[in-house]
Amino acid sequence: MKRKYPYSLAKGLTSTQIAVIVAVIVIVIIIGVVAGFVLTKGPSTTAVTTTVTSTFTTTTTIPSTTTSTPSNTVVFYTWWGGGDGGEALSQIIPAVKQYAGLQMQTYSIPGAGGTNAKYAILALIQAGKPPAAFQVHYGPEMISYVEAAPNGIHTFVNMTPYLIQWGLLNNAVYAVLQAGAYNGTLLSVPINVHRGAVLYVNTQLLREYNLPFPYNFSTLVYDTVQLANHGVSPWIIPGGDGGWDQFNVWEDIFLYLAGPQLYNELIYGTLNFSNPTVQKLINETNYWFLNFTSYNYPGWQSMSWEQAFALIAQGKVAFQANGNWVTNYASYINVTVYPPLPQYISNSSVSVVETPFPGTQHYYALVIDTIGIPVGPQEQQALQLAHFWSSYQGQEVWTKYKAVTYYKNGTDWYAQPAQWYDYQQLINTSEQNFVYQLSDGGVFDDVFAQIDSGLLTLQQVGKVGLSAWNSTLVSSMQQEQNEWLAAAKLGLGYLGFPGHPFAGYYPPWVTNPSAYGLTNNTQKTSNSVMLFLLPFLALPLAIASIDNKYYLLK
Amino acid sequence: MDKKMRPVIKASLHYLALAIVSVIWLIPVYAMLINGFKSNFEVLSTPVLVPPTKITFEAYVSVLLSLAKPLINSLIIVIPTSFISAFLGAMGAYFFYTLSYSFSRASSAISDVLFSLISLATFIPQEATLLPLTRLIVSMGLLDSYIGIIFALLIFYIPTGALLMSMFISVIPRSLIEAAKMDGTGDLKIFMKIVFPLSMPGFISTLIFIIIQAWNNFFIPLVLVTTPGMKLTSIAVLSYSGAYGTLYNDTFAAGMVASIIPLAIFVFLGRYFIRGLMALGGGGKGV
Repeated sequence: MKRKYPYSLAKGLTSTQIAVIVAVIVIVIIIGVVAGFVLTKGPSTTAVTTTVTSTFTTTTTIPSTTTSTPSNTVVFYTWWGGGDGGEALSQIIPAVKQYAGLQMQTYSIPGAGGTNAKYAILALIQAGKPPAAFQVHYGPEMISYVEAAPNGIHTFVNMTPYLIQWGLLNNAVYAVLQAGAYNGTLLSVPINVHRGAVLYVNTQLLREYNLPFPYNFSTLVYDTVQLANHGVSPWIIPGGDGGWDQFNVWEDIFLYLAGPQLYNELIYGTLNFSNPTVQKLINETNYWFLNFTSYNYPGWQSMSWEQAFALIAQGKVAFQANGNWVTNYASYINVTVYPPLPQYISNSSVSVVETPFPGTQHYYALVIDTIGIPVGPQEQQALQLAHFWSSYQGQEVWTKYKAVTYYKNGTDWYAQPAQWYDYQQLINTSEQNFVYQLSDGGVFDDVFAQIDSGLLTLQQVGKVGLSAWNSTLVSSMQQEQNEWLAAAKLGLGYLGFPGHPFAGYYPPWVTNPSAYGLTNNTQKTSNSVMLFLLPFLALPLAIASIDNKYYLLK
Repeated sequence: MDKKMRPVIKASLHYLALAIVSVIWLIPVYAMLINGFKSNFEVLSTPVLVPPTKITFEAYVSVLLSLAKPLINSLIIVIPTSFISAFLGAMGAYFFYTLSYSFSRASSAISDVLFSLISLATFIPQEATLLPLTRLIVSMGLLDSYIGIIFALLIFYIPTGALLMSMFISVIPRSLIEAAKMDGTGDLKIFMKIVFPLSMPGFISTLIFIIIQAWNNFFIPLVLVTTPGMKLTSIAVLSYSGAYGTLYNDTFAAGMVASIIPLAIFVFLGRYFIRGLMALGGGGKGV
């Protein structure tokens, strides 16, 4: 039979043909390797250090570059699109122009925690064209940027001296700064503080069935059972966010049962699962998690937290556990959220109340939004932006619609009554009672994904899934610890300042580095700038407040 | 059963199946359309398929204003990208087609190998090329520019165009090309006068395919656009979904507005797309 083509690959090749094919492949590979090497070669960088005299009476050594461009436009990479973040951005942009003389542009990229933006930011940094500024959470999130960046920690502006110069070390709630300091180094500037571990309660529903407000855990359990007996769905724990809402409920219960010390051990993955007390606490947490989720609103599987809150606002469900961004979001559906004070709870016109998760009133779960600044041509403009945004005046504009400020001397400028309550609790919580919300930046991204998935599965399958969930929890905590150890090798092994760790807790590799194969000089190494820190802490509040009025005077 | 009735029943069943499939496909469009007309609260509190109790144009007005520039940007990027990719892809496919039989067994083998490598390029995840691609565009001074994005998209879509067009060009009778060559016609003229006109349905199919791919491309504009004014539709649409709050009515309205242009292209050129697929089914095998 005559072949259609004079040649067929399927019929065997002559040695010449094979040689040609191999040669082509080799040439392509060589070209690919050479091109890859040339294109991925790191950009050359030059670091210039200058001494800058601050606007007030002290001198601080601040690294800066001399390559700033005259453009007054600053692009801020953010994941805030719709909702409260979008509204707050629309308020801050004209204020930045008026008081800092900068044209701020927001480049919103979807994905909480910068899941999408991270690729773009790191690629641009690698290519030598970093964005001016980007949004990042406090907690371990920034470490993932440092680990992936070409020059490690030096890729980003060390914000510690700036925060000292701007007076934040004196004027801000100290725990807020501790939550973003890695072994004393702050790599981003805080712009607002959210509160996690809160419960949204429809008080009209409770009044209708004559039930007490859940100030404590046992009342929450009682109300849950009573509402269910009346044929009302007590809880909405939606599944449309991929397990994030489940994580919120689980960690809130754990915080109530175990307290902040053990909760913070989860942040580092150091919780001792072989300890019988810990095992008991985990079992109890799992028990209550399954208990509450068994009272879930029908159709929870596909709902998001926003839809869940609409059910709360409508009085179809009594309880939703989440963070206080829900309070800001409520403004968009014209719902006012009140604090858990008797005058509101007993007021028949009040329907939605935000309260600390029952049993956690004395603790504060932080979720802090910040601005990171890569070293680059727009560094100075980005610093100006961060300076205004973090100033008292900037906070007044920004936090009206978004979370609360961290200034210790703030007043009630908030759009929602519940915000003022959260703010007062923030400034009155003692240092050891702070935790960083696990489900919002308190653990590394991959660990977060594992836990989300594990808890969503547990809710779906019920008790039979406990063994798998416990296994997921243990392995994800091991992963968390490994990632912190990797950070420790970079000298960023814990949250807080030397001598002042976040929530008073040092992970064990800081206290006993040799047991983890670490050298002493990677741990508790004081940032050189920290030498200036202690005297500053002792300075009177008034000195720094001069700086806070800087923009007011402009 | 009456033999006369059989074709009627058969046709009825066909149409019934088509109707069911059509309804299933139209449900998302319906949901997008009606939820854009709901208020902030109603879109959260009512089922997604229930029409609005009170129609409001707020979301559509807001979205149209903010999507105007991204829509224009996307058109500026997608039109040249798709035409260049499909046209150069067609030329490449013709080259490999002629190479596969023109000279010798060796040239045929080279054609097969090279074309396989090019085809392989269409399967490389764009994310895997992130760093070298960004550095290349930055080193060329094309970051955050129309040309830079078009160039980056062409890297991925020219091989796609070549791969798709090879299926259509290979069904053109070889005798036509050989006759033209015997008359002394050059390859460029053969391509422009014979191959390209004959493969027009395939070209339009390829064009539409690339338009839709480029229009929806998220990753390349995500990285190579650094200022809000250059934002493309694929990024702008998703920016209504914030981490701490999704504006669902705006999101639905944005989805609807963003899909109008590719939808219109498909409606007007859809018959050519179908013709192209039919030509493919009629004997296209690739180079």
